[in-house]
Amino acid sequence: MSWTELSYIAPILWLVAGGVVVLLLEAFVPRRDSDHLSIVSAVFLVLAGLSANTGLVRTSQSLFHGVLRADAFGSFFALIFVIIGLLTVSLGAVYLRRQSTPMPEFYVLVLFATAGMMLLASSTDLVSVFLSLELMSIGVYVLAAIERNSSRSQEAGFKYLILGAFASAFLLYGIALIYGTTGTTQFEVLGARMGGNAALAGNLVFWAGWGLIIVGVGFKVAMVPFHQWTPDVYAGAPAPVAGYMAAGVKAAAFAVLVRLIWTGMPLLMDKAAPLLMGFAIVTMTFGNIVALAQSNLKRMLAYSAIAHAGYLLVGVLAISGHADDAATRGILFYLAAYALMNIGAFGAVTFVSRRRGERSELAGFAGLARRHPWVSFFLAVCMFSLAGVPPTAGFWGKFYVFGAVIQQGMVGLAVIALLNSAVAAYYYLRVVVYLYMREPGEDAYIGDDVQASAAIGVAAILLLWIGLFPSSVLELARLGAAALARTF
Amino acid sequence: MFDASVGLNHYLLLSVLLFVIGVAGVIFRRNAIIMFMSIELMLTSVNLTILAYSRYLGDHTGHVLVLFVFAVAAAEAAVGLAILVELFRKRDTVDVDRFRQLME
Repeated sequence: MSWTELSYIAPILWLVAGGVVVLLLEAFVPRRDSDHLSIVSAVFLVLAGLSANTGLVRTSQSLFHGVLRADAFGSFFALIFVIIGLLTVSLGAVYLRRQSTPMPEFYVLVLFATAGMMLLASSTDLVSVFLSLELMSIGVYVLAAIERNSSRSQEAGFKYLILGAFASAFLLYGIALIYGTTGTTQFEVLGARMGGNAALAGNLVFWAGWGLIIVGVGFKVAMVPFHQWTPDVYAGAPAPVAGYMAAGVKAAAFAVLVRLIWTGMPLLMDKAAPLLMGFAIVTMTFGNIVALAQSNLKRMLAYSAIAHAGYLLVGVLAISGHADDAATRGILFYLAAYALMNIGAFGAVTFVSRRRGERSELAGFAGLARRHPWVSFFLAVCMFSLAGVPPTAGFWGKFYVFGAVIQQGMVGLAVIALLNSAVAAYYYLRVVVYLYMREPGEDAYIGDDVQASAAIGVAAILLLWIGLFPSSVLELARLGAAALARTF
Repeated sequence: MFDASVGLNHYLLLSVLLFVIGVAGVIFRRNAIIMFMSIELMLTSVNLTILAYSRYLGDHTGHVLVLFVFAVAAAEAAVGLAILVELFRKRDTVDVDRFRQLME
């Protein structure tokens, strides 16, 4: 271990340091002043973001004997996670202010879980994959259950934990089998041993290992049939946490899935493609069809999260393993856009919610545009982006991912994905109809929090900005994809 | 490397058996505490696989991984039991079939 190596993981160190500092400060700061701790957390997140951006982007350096890798892929995700973390901390502060007993632990858990996400995105060893996945997950389990007065939140946390622990046992078993059959846990060695090894290609135990790993990761990304937890957990967890899960956990899990697919190229893709294709088609179709019937915004977003996992899996299928891979670039772009639109949409729920109980019934949003024109506009931008309407970032995300799929000659799959997006447009645009074209009912929602509307606004403006000028984010995504091509 | 009568495959089979018992426990038992125990059983059976392979390969990565798994399992159990206690205070039950407030 050297100072240079430590400087490469500076973003993660800042977050862990921030978590510890906030945890200690919490003992001294009176609970009613816990708002200040959100500022301290934000400072550490900004420091992490600044250190992720400097010097890291063009290097690809193996760290700590191959456990982590500092490359553009990891720093792309580090930047996404910093933005997710900042928006979550600011929405979380709004949420905590409404509680009778503020819980500054919220910030600590967000900082630690974000550190776990960053570690996951830079992991190049199955051991560190498992550990960082758990660092992220355990934090999020507690975050989902953080509302102590609400048995709904407790139930969400409990369900997420039981099923999450169940899935990580599968992931771990997969790791064990791959370790046993190849004798290594490091991605690079693993990739080298898989290349042209006929004995391994026919080894059932080895492929069972990969299958179990895909089950474990599939759970985290809400892939059908491992999605059952998603609607309940998203509906029960506090809105800022649900947004954090939808954006962060999904991005981190896809980061590790993409790295694993690159590691196992081309052997893994040959074997897994039919299976993944089935999962992708079922996932997006199921998510979209069930989302059509939802009358609660949070549940609708949960099913939409399942559908988006399907679109991203379609992108994963198109990974070619060539340098300058279009699919990987598209997935990175899509995840950045997806994170912003989800945080924005869940932020709107935070905005209208009250001290007692969260408010996310679609009917309550009717006519919101009359009372809150700006928040309605921001929410509408998020919905257009989720639906993939130009000029929003969501459109370009779909464009790049599906474009890569067509480039790979999988036209049928691209058509299914496009049909799905068309179906999905119905339920996203229905939200916009409620906002602008319906008369407000008796129990129409009102919000009053400037900070919440500012956070949603930042997400929406970034979506529009990326939608109008996609080239800068696309260039970062291209560097990230190129870093993978150089490694494997 | 091993005693002639007990080889790698015996360990692997035992751990598959334990893992399946754990999976069955999570799926079929409705008591939350027993479900936790079943998850612990799954993790332990994986540990057995890892250690058997580690010994067979003569490689120490597996030993280290098992120590990490212990720590993670402990953290998961601590968080899980804490949430369960809170839930028990509100619902007076640990029967997961009664935890369906969110499904309505």
